Amino acid sequence: MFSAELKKGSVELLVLSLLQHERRHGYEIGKLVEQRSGGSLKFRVSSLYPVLARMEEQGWICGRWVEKQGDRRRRYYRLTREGERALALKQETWRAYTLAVGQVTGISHA
Amino acid sequence: MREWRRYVRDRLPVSDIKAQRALDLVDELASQLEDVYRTELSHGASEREADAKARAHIEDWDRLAAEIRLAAPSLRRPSASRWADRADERARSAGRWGAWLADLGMDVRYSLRALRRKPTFAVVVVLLVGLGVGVNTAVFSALKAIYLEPLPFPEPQAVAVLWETTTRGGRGPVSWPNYRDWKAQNRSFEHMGLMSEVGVTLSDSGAAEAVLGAWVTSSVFDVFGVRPALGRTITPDEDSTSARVAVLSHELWATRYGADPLVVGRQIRINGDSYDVVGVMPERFVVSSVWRASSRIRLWVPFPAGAREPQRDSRSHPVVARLRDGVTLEGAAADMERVARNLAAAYPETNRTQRVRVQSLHAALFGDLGTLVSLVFAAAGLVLLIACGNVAGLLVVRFSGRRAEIAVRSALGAGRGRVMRMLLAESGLLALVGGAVAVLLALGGLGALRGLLPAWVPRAADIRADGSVLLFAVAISFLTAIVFGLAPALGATRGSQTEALKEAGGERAGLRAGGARQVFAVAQIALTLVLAHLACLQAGSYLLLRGMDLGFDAENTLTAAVTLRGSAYRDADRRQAFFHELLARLEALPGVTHAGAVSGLPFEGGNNGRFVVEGRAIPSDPNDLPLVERKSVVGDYLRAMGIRLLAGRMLTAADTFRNASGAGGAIINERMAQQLWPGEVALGKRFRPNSPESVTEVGAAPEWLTVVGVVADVRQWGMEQPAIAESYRPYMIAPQQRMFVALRTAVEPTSIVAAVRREVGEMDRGVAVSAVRTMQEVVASELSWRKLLTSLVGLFAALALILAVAGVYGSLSYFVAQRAHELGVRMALGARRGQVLLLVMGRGAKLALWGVALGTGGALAASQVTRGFLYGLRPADPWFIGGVATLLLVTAVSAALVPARRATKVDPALALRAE
Repeated sequence: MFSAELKKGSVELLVLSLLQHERRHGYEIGKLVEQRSGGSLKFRVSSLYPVLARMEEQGWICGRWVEKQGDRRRRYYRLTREGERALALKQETWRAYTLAVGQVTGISHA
Repeated sequence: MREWRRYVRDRLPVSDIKAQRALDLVDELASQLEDVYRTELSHGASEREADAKARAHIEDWDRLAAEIRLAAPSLRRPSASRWADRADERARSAGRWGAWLADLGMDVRYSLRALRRKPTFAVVVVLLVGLGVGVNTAVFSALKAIYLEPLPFPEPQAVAVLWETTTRGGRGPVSWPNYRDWKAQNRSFEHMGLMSEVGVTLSDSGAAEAVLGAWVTSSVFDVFGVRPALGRTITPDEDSTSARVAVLSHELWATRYGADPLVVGRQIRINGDSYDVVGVMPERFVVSSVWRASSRIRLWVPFPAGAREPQRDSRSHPVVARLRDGVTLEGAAADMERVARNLAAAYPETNRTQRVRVQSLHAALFGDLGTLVSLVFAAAGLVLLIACGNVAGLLVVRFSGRRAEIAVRSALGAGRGRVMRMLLAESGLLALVGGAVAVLLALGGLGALRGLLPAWVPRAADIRADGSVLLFAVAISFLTAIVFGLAPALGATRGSQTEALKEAGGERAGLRAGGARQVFAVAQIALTLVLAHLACLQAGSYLLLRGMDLGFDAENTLTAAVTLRGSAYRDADRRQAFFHELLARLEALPGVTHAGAVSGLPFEGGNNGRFVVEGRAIPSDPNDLPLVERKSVVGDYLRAMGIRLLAGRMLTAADTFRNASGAGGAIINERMAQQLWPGEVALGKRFRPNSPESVTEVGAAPEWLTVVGVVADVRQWGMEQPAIAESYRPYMIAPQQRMFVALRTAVEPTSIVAAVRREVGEMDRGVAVSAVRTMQEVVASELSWRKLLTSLVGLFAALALILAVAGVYGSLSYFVAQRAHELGVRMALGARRGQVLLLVMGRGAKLALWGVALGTGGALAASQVTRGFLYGLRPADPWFIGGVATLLLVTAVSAALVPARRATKVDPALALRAE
């Protein structure tokens, strides 16, 4: 539904938001994005994984292999302190951006 | 899950990504694909549809890999290892050797990574190896330069020195008539010549200089087989006419004559006479005196007619010769034995007991020195072995910690040999790096080594780290790797895989490693005992010599050689007058209390002859007459040298001038008095030489000398040889051209050197003064090789002791660490700290006792082999061996103290909780 460029600009915000309160593994992150967006936002494994790799390289998230009872081994990610700061900045930027666009176009969130 | 992992691994290019990260990457992607697959299945898709949906999540694998690399550059492996992988692939495709090399490369890289994780261990091992190999490399470079380097002529092994010897042994110079007969009658030598070193004075350009030259027959140059660099050598005609021609050494030509390219044909003054230079020898042609390998011959002249003494028993000149092709030294010796017997039959009065000794020139020059350096080399080798013991102990522990890894490798198909290769690669890598450190240490140390060596050591300036020395260092490093790596590698790969997995990291592995470490510690103690015993014996010999009564007083005595040559001093009376006047001037110098001159200083003997005692029958074999060292003296020599008078009186002016009746007085030493007149009073007795001493007296009967005084013995042949009978006679009996002035001073002796040179110069500028030394320097020079040997062996022994102590400490620390749990339980069950302390100290004592027991046998054997280097001590002296063994025991047990105290600090409560 949305163009690749649009999705690219917001994927980090999406991932960081989902990790704000809870550790999650890569597939879970992709699934949650799809569910909460009502199916409008879908990420393939090949799109999501490089993003996770980049954010881990930047030190915003940290991955660990975890084996839970009754489940197979998965790599869970959590937000780091650096990541929290990045998330806060991105949220603020997004708010300011959407406000500015809304002021120009007259579109607002109800 | 496994299916997806293989699916991802087969498609995703991860060869340039770090191994562990690549595994994570593959696992995570596979996990996500598995999740997609299961989700699709749960939504009612068939397996095929679910499979297709999952696969559709990643279509462009190369692009995914590129994006991952871009997103996370830290995932990539360093370019060196990516290059190594490509090299590996290429090597493997080159066949069996290629695969072997590829495996080696892999092992080395793996070892590097493993060692990077344990830098302390690696540094300690490298330093230990560096120290051991470095010491050996430095000594080898000395051995090579001084002893192994061949002499600078073609086929040097064919050049020999021939000595006259008697049926009783020894070696001595040759008489002219014997040399001529040897040359005519032998069948073994292609060329033979006489080469007799002689001090000459050069007085042409610049100051008069005393130089070591040689009288030679023209055939000597054929013996050496070296063509001159400029001009020519002496011709047989010039030889037979004793022409005044000279051949210069390269060094003399360069230093005294400014490397003048037109020197051939130039006239130079030798001993005041004019000589024509006919040739210059090449730079690499360095010939030493056969008596003293560090003295180099700087010019060659034909034998003067006067030096061709016709008496068959006037033995003065060494003979050099070149073997014929195919003839060995042993064959030549047998041939010369035949010649000697012919001469003994033809000339029984002089040759009945004379024989010939054939020795290679190399052995004659460097034989003794070679043995000395070999001893030092062996000691250095022991230090290396001991260092290997430390390293082996460390490796045993390290490898035992890798038993699980080794077991896994074996389970995956690696044979024992392959695993051992991997472990030895690590040893090899450590040894090579240690070898590099060793080379650096040796390079740095060589300068110091050259400086430490006494001046008499020949070719010391040639000691350097060249290609062969470096090769030696590399070879020794490899050997070291095998020595210290093999046993631990064998131990680590022993037994079944299951055993290894079960015991890995556990107690049994640790105990086995600990046992091996203790065996190494015992071996180290044993080797240290051998070295320490050797060092103590050497030190004892040195101290005995240093404390010896020399028979003279070396303090405050200056000596200098004054040589009177040339036509002005042909007359003996003229020479005597010169020396008398010179001594009067020197005694008048402020600070000088006594002045005298002698034909040979203490320790520098070699002028002796057979003497006849008045009233006793002369035996048929002149070799049965007593051999007496003879010295000519002028002035107050004996007081100047501080030689003690035991009976009678010193020589007076009346004795030192020949009187009308021809008889004169002489002083003899105590040894001569005891030997020639045992149980009698020697004063007043008379003796004379068996044959005339100086050429000018051919035909004249030698004169009787009356003993007027007896002095203390002075060692003529060096400090370590007992004194032989010696007489000090008035100068005119044998008026030498070269005399050693001896001055006793009330001031620092070196402060009057300039004044001495000035006085000689004022009397005659053409007279050379050389060999200016204090007697303390002469004594120090005598002791210098022993001091050097003692210092080096002592240093090695000290190093060995430190290493052995470290080995004991290390093995006991490990013992305590392995047994910490058991010790804690013991203490919890009531054992006192004292008992635990004793347990550990007892273990240390046991190691030390075993080491000492094994080492004692080795030490006794080694001291027998090196008995030639001892002075005044028996090789199996119980005090020495007992003392050294006790020292080692005490030291080793002390090394156990710290681990023992650590053992007592184990918390029993912790041990019980672990239970």
